[in-house]
Amino acid sequence: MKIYFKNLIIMVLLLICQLSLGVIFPNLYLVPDFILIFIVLKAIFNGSKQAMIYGFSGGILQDAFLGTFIGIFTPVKTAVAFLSGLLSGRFFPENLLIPPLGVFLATIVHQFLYILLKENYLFNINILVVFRELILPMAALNALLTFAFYLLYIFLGRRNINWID
Amino acid sequence: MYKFDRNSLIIVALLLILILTLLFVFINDIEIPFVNWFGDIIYNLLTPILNLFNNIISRIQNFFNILFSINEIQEEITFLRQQNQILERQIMFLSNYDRENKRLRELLNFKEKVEYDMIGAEVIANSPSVFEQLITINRGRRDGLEERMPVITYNGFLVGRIDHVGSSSAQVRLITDNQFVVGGVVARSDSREIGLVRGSGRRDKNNTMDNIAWDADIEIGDVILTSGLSNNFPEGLKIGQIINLETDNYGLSQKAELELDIYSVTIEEVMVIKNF
Repeated sequence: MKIYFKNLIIMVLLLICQLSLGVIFPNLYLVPDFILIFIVLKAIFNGSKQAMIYGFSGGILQDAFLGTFIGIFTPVKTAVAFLSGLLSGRFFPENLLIPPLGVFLATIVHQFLYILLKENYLFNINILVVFRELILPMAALNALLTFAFYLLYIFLGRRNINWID
Repeated sequence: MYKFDRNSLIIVALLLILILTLLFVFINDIEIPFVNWFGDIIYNLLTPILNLFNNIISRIQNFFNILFSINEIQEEITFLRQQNQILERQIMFLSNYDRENKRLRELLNFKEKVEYDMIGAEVIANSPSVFEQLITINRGRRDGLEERMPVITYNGFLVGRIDHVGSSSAQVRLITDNQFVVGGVVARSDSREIGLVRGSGRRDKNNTMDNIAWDADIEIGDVILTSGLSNNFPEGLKIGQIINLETDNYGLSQKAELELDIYSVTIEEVMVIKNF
């Protein structure tokens, strides 16, 4: 219970950083989805079951800032956490490329699920253009950040990745 | 490897049911009062933290800005003092015109124009999604804010409308949002053509103005203001300028591309129009 509470506080802090980035840097076009990165890493290291709880909580937190309680982020983030959890236990922690790759794919799945569920987007946008100009750069940005964080922790000698617990 | 034994299958099935239930609630717009109340609690708990975080960042930014630009600030103060004197003179002249205007309106039995009741607010958060153009401001129900109130910049450019109100904060749906529609009118003495201004859904794309009559007198460079035809926005708020014009609906109407005025300023502080 204590660990869940600790992770919930981390997610709240990540959300605050995510929401404030655009205010501090007004010209920033893409803001990374820190909560998604956290959830996917959780799923990769701890499996689907735990990650889905965090996906559900993270989704609720993000939905609160879209004016609804259970909105679009709650089911989408829970589903992405489940899918990411399928990677769990399939690679060594020293493999630096798997977590960024997981986040890259999860971002693409996350954004596509989001568009599919938004009626006003689904029928009004050119999916290919949005994929090329928004989803792909966003996925690359999230993956790059994941790589940087993961590299930092590996080089700090915390190979047992306790921080993720 | 993920093992699909009996217990795992039950958990997966339960989780799938949970996701599908959430999707059902979302797609059908089902309002559950308790759930909404809980959502409001989360929102109202988080926004003060955001406000505090934003204040700390602003103070740090201001400290360094002042530290590295003392000379510029001195020059600006001198310039602003001069400007202030000029503006004071203009106010004196304008107050004479205002009195004359009121007297003539009374003579003609014209309806008195109501001044906007406005309140200033600071932007404390951005949108959590790249697909939703929303900002959060540090004024809420306690300050008398309600849903659908128009939001403008200090220069009078239309920013958006209040979408959701918390106790001490509110969310503003920006004019660039995909769901945002407002009536626009050409601001030219010899043309008052109207159309619908729609958000592009993206910050790097311009808004469009459609449903313009096929023979409308509209040109590139025309300034577009809010028409005030709906009761949601007052008339005369600046929206933007036309930069491209093309035929729409196989020549039955015209469509224009608008460069928004809010792109020329940084939206850090806004004004909410409480009544108009």
